[in-house]
Amino acid sequence: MTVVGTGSARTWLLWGAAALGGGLPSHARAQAPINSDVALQPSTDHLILRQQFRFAQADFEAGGADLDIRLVTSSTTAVYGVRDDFTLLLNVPAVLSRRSEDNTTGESDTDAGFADLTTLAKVRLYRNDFGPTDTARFDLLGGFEIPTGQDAFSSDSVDPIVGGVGTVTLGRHYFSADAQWKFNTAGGDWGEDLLQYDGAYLYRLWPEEYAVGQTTQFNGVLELNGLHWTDGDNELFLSPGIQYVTRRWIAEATVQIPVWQDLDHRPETEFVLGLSVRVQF
Amino acid sequence: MIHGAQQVAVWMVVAAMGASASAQVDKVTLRFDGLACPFCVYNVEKQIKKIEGVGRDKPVENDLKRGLIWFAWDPGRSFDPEALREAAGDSGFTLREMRVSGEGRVPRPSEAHPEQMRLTASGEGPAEPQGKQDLLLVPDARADRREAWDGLRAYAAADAGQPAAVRVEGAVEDVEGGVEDEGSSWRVVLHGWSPVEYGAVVDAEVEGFTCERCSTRTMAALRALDGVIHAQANHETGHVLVWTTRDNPDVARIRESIETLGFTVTHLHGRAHESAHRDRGGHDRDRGDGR
Repeated sequence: MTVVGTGSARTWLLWGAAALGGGLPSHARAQAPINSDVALQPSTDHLILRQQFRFAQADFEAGGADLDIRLVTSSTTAVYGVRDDFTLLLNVPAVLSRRSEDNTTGESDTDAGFADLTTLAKVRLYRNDFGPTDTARFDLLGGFEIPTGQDAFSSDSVDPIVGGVGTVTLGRHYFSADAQWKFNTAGGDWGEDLLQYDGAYLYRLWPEEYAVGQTTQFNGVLELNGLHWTDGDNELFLSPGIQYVTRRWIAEATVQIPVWQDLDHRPETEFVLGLSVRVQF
Repeated sequence: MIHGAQQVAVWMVVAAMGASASAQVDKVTLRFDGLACPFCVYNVEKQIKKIEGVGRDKPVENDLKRGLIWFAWDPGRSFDPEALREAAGDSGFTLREMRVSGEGRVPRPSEAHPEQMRLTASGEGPAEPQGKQDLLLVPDARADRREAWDGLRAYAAADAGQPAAVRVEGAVEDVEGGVEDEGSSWRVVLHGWSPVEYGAVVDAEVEGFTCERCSTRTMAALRALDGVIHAQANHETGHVLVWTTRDNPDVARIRESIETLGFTVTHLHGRAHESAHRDRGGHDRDRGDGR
C-alpha cells in the first residue's frame, strides 16, 4: 500500500468505518429506518440477517494535499430474538477504500479488510400496542465494538457502547429516534468518543389501506443521521430513502446528503449511497 | 401482560349418555395490536406454526387493517389455547382476542332422550377457567333445563324439535352460529370472540329486564364506561358480565350505570383476573363485592 497525502490514513479509515455503518447496525423489521438502529425486534427464536452495501465519496484536505476518498462497505448483521423483549445483535463490517490525490501527482492507493465487529444486547423496557397498527416501544441497548478488524480498520480497543431507541407507529406513520454513545478506550490521535444520533420518519406510500391478505408495501423514508466526535467534529446527514417490504424480506435504498459539517479532523462526505436487504428466517 | 386464563371455550368431542355426537375446532382467529406491516405478520406466523394443530404447511391469512391473523386447526387435534397464547406472546405483539370456530354434529334430540343434545366443550373461558364445561343445547320447550357456566353459555333455540339457531352468551361477543337439520342429526356451528386480556370480571344479577332491549341498553351503557373492555347482559336470566382493564374494578360505578337505567342490581361481584388465574382450583380472591 502506498500512503498518499499527509493526513492520517488511519484517521480517515476509521472515519469511514463510523460514517458507513461502523456505528450501531441497523436491524431488521419492516417499519424501521435504513440508517439507524430501531426498537422493533425479532420474535423469540427468530433470526434476521441484514446485508448492507454502502458507497461514500469524500474529500480530505491536509498538509496541502487534496485527497479524493471513495469507500465501499459491506455490513452483515445478524439479529436474534432470545425473547420477545431481549435481542442479540452481531455486526461484521468490511471496508474497501480508495484514495487518490486530486492534484498533479495522481497517486492513489487501495485498501481492503474487515473492520471491528460490534456485539449488542437490547432490552425492551416499554411496549404499548394500542391499536391494530399502532405501537410505541422503547429499548435500552449496550455492547462492545471488539477490535477484530484488520489494522487499518480497527480501533485496537474494546469500546463500550450504550444507547437507547424509541419508536412510535401510528397507522401509516412511523417515527423513531435513537442515540448511541461509543466510548473509545484506545486514546491517542484517534481515540475520540463517538455519539451517533438519528431521527426517522417513515410513511407507508402503498397501500393506502391494507387489504385482506396484504403481503407487500412500499415505505418512503426521511432520516436525519448525526455523528459527533468528542474532538469537536460534527456531521449531519439528511437521508431520504425507500423500502419495499414483503413477509420474508425487505429491500431498501437510501442516499445520505450532508446538511451540516464541522470537520477539522476528518474527511468531508459528499454523499453516501446505501442498498440493503433484510431476510428473516 | 397476557394471562392464560381467558381463552375462549373450545369445542370438543364428547357426547353424553352414550350418544354419538362430535364437535371440532376448525378455525382460529387471533386479533393483535401492534402489527405494523407484513414483515411483522411473519413473526407471528412462525411462532404459531410451531404449535401442533396448526402445522407448517397450513396457510396463515391476515387482515392487517384489523390486526387479524387466522388459520385452520387440524381435525382431530386437541385445541390448546395456552400454547397459542404463549406463541402470541413470543411474537412480540399484543394478543387482544382469540376467536374459535367449531363445528359438530349431535343426534337429533327427542323428548325421550333430551340429553343426547349435550356437547362437551373443553378449554378455558374468560371467567371460569375450570377445565371441562358443558355446553348444553336445549330446545326452548325445555328451557328449564338450560345449563350454563359463567364464561360461556350456549343453547339451541328450537321449535318443535327443529333447530333454529344457536345462541351464545357470556364471554363471547359478535356471536354467529347455526344449526342445520341433517335428518338423524343436527349440524352445529358456533363461534365468537373472547377478550384475551383483562384485569377483572364483574358478575352481576339484575332484576327488571323484560326484553332484549333492556339487555342491549345495559350493555351499551356498561361498554361506555372507562375501563370496561366488554359487557354482556342476558335479559332472560338477568345475568350481566363485565370485563374491565383494571384488576380492582369500580363496582359502584357499574352498579350505578345499571340502576340509572331503571333496573335493580341484586348481586354484584368483582373478581380480579390474576387471582382467578392463580386460584384455578376455585379459590378466587374477591375484589369489590358490591352486594
